Amino acid sequence: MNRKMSRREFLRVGAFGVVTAIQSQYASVRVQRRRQPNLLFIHVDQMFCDAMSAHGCQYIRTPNIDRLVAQGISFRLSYSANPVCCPARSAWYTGRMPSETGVVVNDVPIIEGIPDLGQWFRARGYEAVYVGKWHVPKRPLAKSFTVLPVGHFSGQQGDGAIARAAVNFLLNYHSDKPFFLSVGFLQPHDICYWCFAHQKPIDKIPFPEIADQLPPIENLDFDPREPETFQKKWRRGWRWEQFSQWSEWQWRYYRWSYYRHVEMVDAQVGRILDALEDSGLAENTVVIFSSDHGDGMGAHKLWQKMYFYEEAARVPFIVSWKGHFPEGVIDDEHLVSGVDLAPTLCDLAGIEPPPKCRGRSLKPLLEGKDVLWREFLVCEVDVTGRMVRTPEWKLITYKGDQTDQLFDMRNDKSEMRNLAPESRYGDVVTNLKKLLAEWEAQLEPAPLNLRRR
Amino acid sequence: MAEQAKIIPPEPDDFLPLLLKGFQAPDAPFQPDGEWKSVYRLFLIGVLDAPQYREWRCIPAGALRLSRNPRPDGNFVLQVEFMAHQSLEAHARSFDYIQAEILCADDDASSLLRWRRISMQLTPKGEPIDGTKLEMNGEVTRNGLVFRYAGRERKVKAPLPITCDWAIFDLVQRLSQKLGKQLVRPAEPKLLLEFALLEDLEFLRTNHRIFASEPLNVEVDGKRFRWRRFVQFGDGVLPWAYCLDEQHHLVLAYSGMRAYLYDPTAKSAFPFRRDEGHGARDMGDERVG
Repeated sequence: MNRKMSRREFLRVGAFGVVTAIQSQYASVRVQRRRQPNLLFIHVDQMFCDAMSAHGCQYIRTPNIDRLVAQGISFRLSYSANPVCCPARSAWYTGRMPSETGVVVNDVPIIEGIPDLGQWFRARGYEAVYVGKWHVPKRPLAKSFTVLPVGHFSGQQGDGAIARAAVNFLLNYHSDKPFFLSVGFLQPHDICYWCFAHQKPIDKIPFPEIADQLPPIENLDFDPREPETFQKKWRRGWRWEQFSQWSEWQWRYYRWSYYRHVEMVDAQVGRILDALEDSGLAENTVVIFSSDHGDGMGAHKLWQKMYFYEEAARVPFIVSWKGHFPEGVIDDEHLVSGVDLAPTLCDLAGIEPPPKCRGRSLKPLLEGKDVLWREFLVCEVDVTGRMVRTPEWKLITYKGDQTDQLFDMRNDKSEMRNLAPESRYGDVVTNLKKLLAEWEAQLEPAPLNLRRR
Repeated sequence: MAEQAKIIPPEPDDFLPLLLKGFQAPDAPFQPDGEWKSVYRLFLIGVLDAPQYREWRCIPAGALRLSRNPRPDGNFVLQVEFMAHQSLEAHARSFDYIQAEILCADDDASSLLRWRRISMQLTPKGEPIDGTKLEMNGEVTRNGLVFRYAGRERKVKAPLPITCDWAIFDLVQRLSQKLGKQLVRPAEPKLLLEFALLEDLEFLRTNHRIFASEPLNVEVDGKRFRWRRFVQFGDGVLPWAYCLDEQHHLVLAYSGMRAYLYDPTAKSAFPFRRDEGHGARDMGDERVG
């Protein structure tokens, strides 16, 4: 593991002017008789991995997510299994790739017979509790989890209530059973609605007060050698006639607004972390923080998600367990996927993972063990889109499309130059496609007729 | 049905004509630094987007009731009752409900001094859901904030002054009163106030600033209004706009997907039917001020 900095170093140099410091006086520290840890999975919706100050962004203040990074391990090479809400969540909660769960696009159900984590943990002695956004269609949440009934499709309307419900649960949990609490915040997903509302090109900034605060976008441009499948959807498709006319400052205003959306949920994450500390359960609770997918953020003149550029596909994956795992570690080395969540949680709980999990348990990495780790991971979009990521390369390919994309992720992190058309990279493309074929050969794709609405 | 309001704001303010349909402006005398009660309806605003059309939607999504009671020392007590619809898929039909009683300082920021807050979730019929009630008290000290809840105490360092989202409804009214009729939109943005924000008396957000902005000219049912406008920026919020009438009464506040519109009839939205008085009276005998 690449140990970037100690916790003390991180707190000193990495918190970027955070003004809050937390002190807590516990009424009592609860003693738990059991040995299995509680599992607290906090997930947000549409957050790019590096949209936090702890990862070096100077245009955002996320003191609470930073606190979690300072108390744990943050995997920066973490990718959504499929950067779309429902598919990504189906992968989280089953450990299977979306092409196997059947959820290859939004609003189609997980095929019958694949267990979800609520069912799995509940059957193995855990109190499985859910609050907030679920978005795994046709899989009745209440049959898998005990549900705390709050939340709203707008994070601005519902996330405060979600935090309060989770806080209440933690403060009042007195059972000897370990719990698996999944907290699903909506933010920063409201940025989608923001984009709908702001899509008309305008010729002056609406707020001169923030004119000097708009974050730069170093990869606003893009290599036009993009797959036809992608271009059809994004360069000629949804509202492109509007977005293509945006000026640079309008894209930057969008990114400024996106960062405010992330900050909205940061404070609510902080309340849950406070409550966990105050509950006396922190020492026996593993906290995992992630997002289903990222957001375009204006990179390559894109919004939304559903594609493989870094901003849409790379997501936070932070794990913290006081006294058990290293603290203040930012891992830039190990590739992590959304399908790793299920086997990791099961491994931490000491129970077997659901059948045919495609991910790997991160527990050895969390314990600082030097293990042989995966050389590549695969990410899916819709029926035909696939991304193969190694530490060095990213290949993006759509079945039946003549054009691929290949990026040198060590020397071109901004993905500005597509190397696939250049003949000298032919072997790299061939090898990555071979890895993809091997990966796909082990999957059990859901019947196509079950994938569609 | 009232006519649609005529207004030509820049996007994203295009929702205003729809929101202001049938708007009834306050007409009673109003004293911002005196005793007052105001009720607002909370709307969710957004665009329904489809390939062939776009349509603004303004959906009633809750209510906010505020009352201000000055004390002899100049400080004042702000009582709050807030309710927001919760509706997430089939499993989450409920209301987020908050009562609070806040002692605020008689200063520009309506600074928080101490407060009591009770939050709970309510069923669709307005009944408290078991296990959701949480009482949280707090105060501001020289170093920041102290929260007390469920037998715990938590101290949080924070810059002063600290106010809350509901107290901003008070402070912009007094700010407008203080500015009187003077032009408050200079050629360059002029900072009027800086503070930290304790949203919902719970979520700390720093680096907040309020500026004067362009007035908003509105015509509703043939009546013309020119509302003074302030804008607020800071960590964890999209820009908030606060619109005030000539009596310095806040009539509209909006940010992102949320808008609060002055509407005395919104009090019927609260589940605990009280024509008079305030839900915060049920918070117990202990008072904050």
